[in-house]
Amino acid sequence: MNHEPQIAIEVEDLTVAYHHNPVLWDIDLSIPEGVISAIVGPNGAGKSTLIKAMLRLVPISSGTVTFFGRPLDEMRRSVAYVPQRSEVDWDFPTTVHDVVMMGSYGALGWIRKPGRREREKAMSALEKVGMVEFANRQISELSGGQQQRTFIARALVQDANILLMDEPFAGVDAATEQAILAVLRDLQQAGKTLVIVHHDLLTVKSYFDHVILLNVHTIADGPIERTFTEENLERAYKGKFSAMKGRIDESVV
Amino acid sequence: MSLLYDLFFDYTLRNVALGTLLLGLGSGAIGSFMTLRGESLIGDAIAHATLPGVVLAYLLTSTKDPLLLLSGAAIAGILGIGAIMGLTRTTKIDSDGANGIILSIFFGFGLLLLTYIQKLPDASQAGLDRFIFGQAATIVASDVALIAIVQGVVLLTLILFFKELKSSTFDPQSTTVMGFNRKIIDAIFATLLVAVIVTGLQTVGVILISALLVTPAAAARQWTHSLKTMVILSSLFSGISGMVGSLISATEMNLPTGPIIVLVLTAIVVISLLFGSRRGLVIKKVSQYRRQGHFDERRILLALDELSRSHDQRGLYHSHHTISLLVGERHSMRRLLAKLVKEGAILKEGDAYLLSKQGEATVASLALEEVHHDR
Repeated sequence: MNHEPQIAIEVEDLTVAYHHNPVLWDIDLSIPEGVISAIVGPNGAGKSTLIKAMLRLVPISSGTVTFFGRPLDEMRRSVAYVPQRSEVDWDFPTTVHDVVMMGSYGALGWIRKPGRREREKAMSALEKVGMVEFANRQISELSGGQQQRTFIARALVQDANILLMDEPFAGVDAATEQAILAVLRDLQQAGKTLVIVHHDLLTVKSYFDHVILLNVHTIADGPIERTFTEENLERAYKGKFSAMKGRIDESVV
Repeated sequence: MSLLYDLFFDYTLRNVALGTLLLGLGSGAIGSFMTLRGESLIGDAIAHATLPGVVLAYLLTSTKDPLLLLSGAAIAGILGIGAIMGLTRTTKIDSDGANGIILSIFFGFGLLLLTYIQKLPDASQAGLDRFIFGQAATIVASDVALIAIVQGVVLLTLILFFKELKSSTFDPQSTTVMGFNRKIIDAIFATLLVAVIVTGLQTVGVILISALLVTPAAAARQWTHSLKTMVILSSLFSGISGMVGSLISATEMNLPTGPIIVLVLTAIVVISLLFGSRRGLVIKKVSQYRRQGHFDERRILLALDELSRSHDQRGLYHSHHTISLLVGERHSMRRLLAKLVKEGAILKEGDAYLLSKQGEATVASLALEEVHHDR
C-alpha cells in the first residue's frame, strides 16, 4: 500500500437539470484515494443528485465523471452505492441475509446464481456490521439503524474500492452511528475511498478528513482543515449559516 | 364424479382445464413481480391495449387463425407498454396516469374497429368479441399447445433471471450500479408480461386478465415473507383458479370464463387476507392479543414487586383491586392472575396475591433485560 495516492473520483463540468431547472451547475471536483469525504450543503443543494449523477442514475446534461481515470462502465466492480434507506420498499418479501447477498450479484453477472461462497461472504459482512443475529429476520421488522447496517453489509459484499453513500447516518440512534462510523473507519484503513452525503455539520470535522461544500455549484472541496472554514460555510449556506454558527464553534474547538 | 371423468376423457373439457391451468401458472408468477414493482395497473393497461391488435390482424389478413390474431395482440401490447414507459419517462405524467391514458386510447380504438367490422357484410368476423370477455370452451388442442409453449418459456425465463428481477424490484438503483442494465431487465419483464397476457386473451379476455396477475400475488403475499415462496404460491393460486373457474364455466355453457375465474380468485384472496399465516387479519389480531397479554403479565409482576418494596413488612398479599390500580383495569386481569398463579410466579390467598420466589427471579431477569435493551 505504499504508493502515491491517486485521484479516486474526478468530476469535470458536470451539469444536471430536471425539466430545465439546473440542480447541479458546472461541478468540478476531485476526491483523492483513501479519504472519507463528506458532501455537505443546504437542503436542495443537490447532494444526493451529485452521487446519483456520478453513478449515472440520473441523466446528466453535460460533463464527465471518472473513477481512477476510467469511465464508470469499466469500473462497476470497483464502485458500490448505498442509497438512502427511504429509497426502497422495506416491505419487500425477503430476509436480511438475502439483501446482503444481493451485493454479490454484480460479480456473479447475468444468470449465474449465488452459491455457498456468496452465502458465506454475506454472513461475514453481517458479522462486520454486528447483524449476524438478524440474518434470518424479515426486513420489514428492522429498525432504521438495522436497515442502514444491512445496506452497508451489502456494500461490503461488493468488495468495492470506492463507496458512495447517501445519508448513512440519517435517522439512526447514537450507538448505531458510532457502529457505522467504526465500519467506515475500517474500510478507510483497508484503503477504500468513501464519499458520504452528510447533513450534520456538527460531526463533519470529527468524522471526515475531506469535504465537498455544495450548493448547486461546488463552493469548495479539499482537506477538512483547509476547506471546512467559516467563510466557505457562509458561502454554501448563504446567511442561514450564521444561526448555526455558535453551535458549530462549540463542537469544533 | 362425472366432471372428473369428463376432465380426462372429454376433449373440450381437457383442453379448457389444461389451458387455463398453464395460463395461471405463468401469470401468477410474473404477477408477483408486477405488484412488487408497484405497477399493478400495467397488466390491465397492456391487456386492454391488445384489442386493436387483434382486430387489425383480422382486418389485414381476413383469417381467424389464433396465432395471427395473437401476434397482432402482442404487437399492440408491446406498443402499449412502450408508450406507457415513454410517457412516464419524458413527461411529468405518473405511471397511473400513463396507464389510464394508454388503456383508454387503445381499448377505445379497438372497440371502434370491432364495431366497424361488425358492419361488414362478411359474416365470418363474428366471434372476435369473445376476446373481450374470454370463452374458454372455444379453445382447441393447438391453442393449448401454444399456451403451454409460451407459459413454459415464461417460467423458464423467470427462473433464469430470478436474481436480476428480484434485485431490480427491491432496489433498482443499486442493481443498475452493479452493472445490470435497467433497460434490459425492464424489457425482459415487459416481454414476459405481454406474452402471458396475450395467451390469456382467448380464455379470460381483455377485461379480466389482469385479475390473474394481481389477485393471486396479493393472496400469496399473506402467506409468506419469502419472494420465492410468494412467486410459487401465486403461480399455484392462479393456476388452480384458472382451472376450477374454467371448468365451472365450461359445464354451464352460458357463463363466460373470465368472470367465473375471478370469482374463484376472489374466494382465495378473501381466505388469504383473513387467515394468511404471515399477514392475515386473524393471525395479526391473535399475535396482538398475545403480545398485549404478555405485556400485561409483566406489568402485574412489576406492580407486585413495587408493592412489596414500598411496604416495610415483607410477605404481604395485595388485593386484586390494588394491583388493578397500578396496572390499570383490564378485562383480562382475572385470567392473567389465574395464569400466573398456575405458572407459580405468584401466590394466591383469597383475592390477594404475592410474588413467589420464582416470580422475584422473573422480575430480576426483566430488569436485566431492560438494561440490555437500553445499551
